[in-house]
Amino acid sequence: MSGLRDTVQTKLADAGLQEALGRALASSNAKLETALSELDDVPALKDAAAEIRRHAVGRMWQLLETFEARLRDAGTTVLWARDATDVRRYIAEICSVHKVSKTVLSKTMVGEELGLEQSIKDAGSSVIQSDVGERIIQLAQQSPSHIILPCIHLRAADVGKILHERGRMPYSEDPAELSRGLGKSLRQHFLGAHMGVSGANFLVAETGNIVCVENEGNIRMGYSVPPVHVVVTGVEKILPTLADARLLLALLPRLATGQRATCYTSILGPAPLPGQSRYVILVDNGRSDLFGAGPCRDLLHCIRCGACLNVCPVYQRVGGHAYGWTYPGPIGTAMASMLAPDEAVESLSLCTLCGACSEVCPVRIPLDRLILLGRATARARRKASEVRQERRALRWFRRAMSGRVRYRMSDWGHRLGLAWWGGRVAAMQEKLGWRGERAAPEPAPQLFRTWWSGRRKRGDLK
Amino acid sequence: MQASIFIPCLIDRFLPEIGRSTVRLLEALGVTVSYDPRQTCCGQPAFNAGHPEEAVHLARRMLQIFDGEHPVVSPSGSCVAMVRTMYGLLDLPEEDLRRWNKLRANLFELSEFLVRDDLIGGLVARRQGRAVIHHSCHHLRHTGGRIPLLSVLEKVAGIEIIESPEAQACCGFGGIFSAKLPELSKAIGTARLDAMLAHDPDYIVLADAGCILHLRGLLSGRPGNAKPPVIHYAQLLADPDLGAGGTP
Repeated sequence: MSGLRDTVQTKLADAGLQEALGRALASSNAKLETALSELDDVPALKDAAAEIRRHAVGRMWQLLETFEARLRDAGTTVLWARDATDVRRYIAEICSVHKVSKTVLSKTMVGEELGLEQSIKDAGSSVIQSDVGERIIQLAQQSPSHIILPCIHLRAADVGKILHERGRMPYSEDPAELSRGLGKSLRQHFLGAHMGVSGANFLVAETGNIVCVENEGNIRMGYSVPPVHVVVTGVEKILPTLADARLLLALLPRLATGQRATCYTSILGPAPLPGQSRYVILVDNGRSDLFGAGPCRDLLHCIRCGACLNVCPVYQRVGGHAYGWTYPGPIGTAMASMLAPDEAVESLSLCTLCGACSEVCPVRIPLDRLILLGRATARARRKASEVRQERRALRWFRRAMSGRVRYRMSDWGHRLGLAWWGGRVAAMQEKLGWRGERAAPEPAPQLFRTWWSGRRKRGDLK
Repeated sequence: MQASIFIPCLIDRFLPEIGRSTVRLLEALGVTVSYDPRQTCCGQPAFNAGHPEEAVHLARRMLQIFDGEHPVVSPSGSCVAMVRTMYGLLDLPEEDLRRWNKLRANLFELSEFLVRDDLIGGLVARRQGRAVIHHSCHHLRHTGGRIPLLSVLEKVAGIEIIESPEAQACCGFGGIFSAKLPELSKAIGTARLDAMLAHDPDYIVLADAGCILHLRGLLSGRPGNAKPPVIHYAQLLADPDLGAGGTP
């Protein structure tokens, strides 16, 4: 446990991180509030969105087959990937068939999950991240700390320093100037790229459409300029009809960035553009495990808006890197017991169970409840000695709570402990952080139950 | 009317004044209160820590103790939510599931119970000064406690109620979270406390024992003497030890 506790302390002590997160999230949450206030009946809209996702995920395998047939008939190649290894192999084949040596990659969380950037490099191609935020992360050799706002942990000055150090532009602290500078250099990369790789927000079974939302136009450039376009996306993105996508599009940008609509919403047809080759790689990578895991299937309903991160009191303090794997914040924590690598399973402790995430979720995923279930599941993957110790303490607590006499004895034990072993109790309180700047509660002079029975004996009950 | 009260372990041991205020308040409204001294803990600590097998023992005990016909009232949104919602995630045997279905329809958080059928009706309590509200998360989100709480506080004459937008933000207690990641827990709580103290309140009013212990602890760890009491809303209405005012 101490590993995570140390990480958290480092994050709390990082003034730059605190400033960057504080400012960005305050602004995101204010915009979210405004964007939602414009809608007539948010709860009804969320109900409808949740129902659409439940329905779609419930029969996703069938829908995916329809989707695949639509695309195949129209000349798009559809590939199924069980995991990152499969994706890696497909990318290598595509790069070799089309002699790809320059790739532009649009922001994709599925890509982050699979180490897509590295797979493309290993296939012999250069890779440029084309989303401004992702490009900054790439230049800084970091990983995204938010699923929508990859460099939310950086202040403008930090970004200016990174771009300056990497020789991209003279130092600046002006966000507009920084993104203009980066945008200019990105444009050249699009024109020379052999392959564009992007993710997708929704896949539409009935019509074979692929829906992508973005603000910078880099996805549009990525699927229209290079002769080869590859979509790498999770199988759960499937929807039955375009009308379903339309409803979800009323919520996604509002929840994600507080926008009524993103600057660009692309609805690609099932066919590649004239003269282009298109591949769609449908990625499982643990999703069918979630599908079969009872209540955890709800996690597949997620539309990756990121609002749960923005409202989370823990995320707001520690940022995304503290979680130790691709998906931070409540949605990541809720998936962690099933999908995170072993070393990131501790991140399940990064939750106060406040429920702000479930409240904001546009598709009503009961995230706090799934985090609780995840904590139980994750025991098998945590350090056995720690789990045993925890269980021992809770078993002791349960026994102390299992009868009137035992309950009384545990109370006396507590008081005796304080009186006789003050030093040891103090050390324990120190370790658990209930001492000094947060004083531990003292047992009350008289328990409620003692007061109650005294009152009964005195007969002052009405 | 008769009601059975559930006084959670944290209140029994550390904050009995909340239990006493609950009893006084209910009795002032003509409710005949009963208390079963076999009651202890609902099992929430074990469940929240990810050990449902330990929680299930205490859950079954709870269900057997509160198997009566009268409504059960508790001054804790968190424990009510545990019973009402989370017991559904436990592996309970058939007969306890039957008890659970009965109890969850019959179990009320105190403010919820008071505004139901307008039980609180014409009650008037009196206090002076300013009270800043902090919405305890489970009371707010699991038992839908915001409106009931505000309706109850309306009955306190002479007090100015301050509910700022950040009143719905978590205080960082989080049960076992407070001991597993104490620095983070304290950082979140300190920020909440600063925001509330900026209103220069005479009272900080909450709805759950855990958050009260956390914020009281943080407040008492601070230098200075003029500190507002961090209290449960039932105390604002019916705790004679809070000074003059309140309901008899």
